[in-house]
Amino acid sequence: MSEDRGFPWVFPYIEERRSREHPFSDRPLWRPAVRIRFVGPAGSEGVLALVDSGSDHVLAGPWVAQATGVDLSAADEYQLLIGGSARTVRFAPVQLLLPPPDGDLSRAVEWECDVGFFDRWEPPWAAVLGQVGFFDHFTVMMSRMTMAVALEAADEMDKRLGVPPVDPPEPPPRFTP
Amino acid sequence: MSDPQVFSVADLQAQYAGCWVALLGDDVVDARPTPYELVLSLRERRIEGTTILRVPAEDELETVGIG
Repeated sequence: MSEDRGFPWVFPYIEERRSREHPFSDRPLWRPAVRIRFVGPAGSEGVLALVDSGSDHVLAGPWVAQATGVDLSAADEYQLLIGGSARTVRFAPVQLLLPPPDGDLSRAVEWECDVGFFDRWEPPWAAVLGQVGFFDHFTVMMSRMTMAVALEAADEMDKRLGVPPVDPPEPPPRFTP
Repeated sequence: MSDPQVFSVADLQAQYAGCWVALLGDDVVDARPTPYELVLSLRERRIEGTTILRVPAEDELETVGIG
């Protein structure tokens, strides 16, 4: 896949500004984030999404489901903690489309994964890209020194470091038919 | 190696703090108080291929560990 896609893809961190009262207000806030498209029956929507190694899921706000026509009416509801508070989330299979940093759609990577849509969404990013659904499709390298996140083929860590992939565990019950 | 594109949400905060904005490339093409209004406006104006994000408000607390 790397030959066709032109990996590695290097996405510079996104800069945010802290509030003036913040003790680190003189230090810019940098986030690993990429521009990604959610594709559903009603069309696609591009969002700025946080690359979050600490999340086990791909998560998004409810408006993304509405904008792309993802039907959540038959989806079971779960509770997840987000920012220390419990929120209702419903999962549905969604097509994700990730172009390279230059936006060339002919080299975009497309895959399907289960996305959890919250009933409420407060973060600045429209979506969060977590371990299942994102990190299992790429080798992800993040560097505070370079202020960038780099994506490479999923088997790159094995090639470079001799660390072979492990068999994924059985999916949790919500993903089984 | 891909050519990196530098983008700063901080540059948008003076004008769009607290808004949901749609970018074409790095240019803001629309901004609304909610993502629902923004998507509706983009559809009405037949603007496609945008990237949507929310620009944090000036006094908004820093978010950590959301996932």
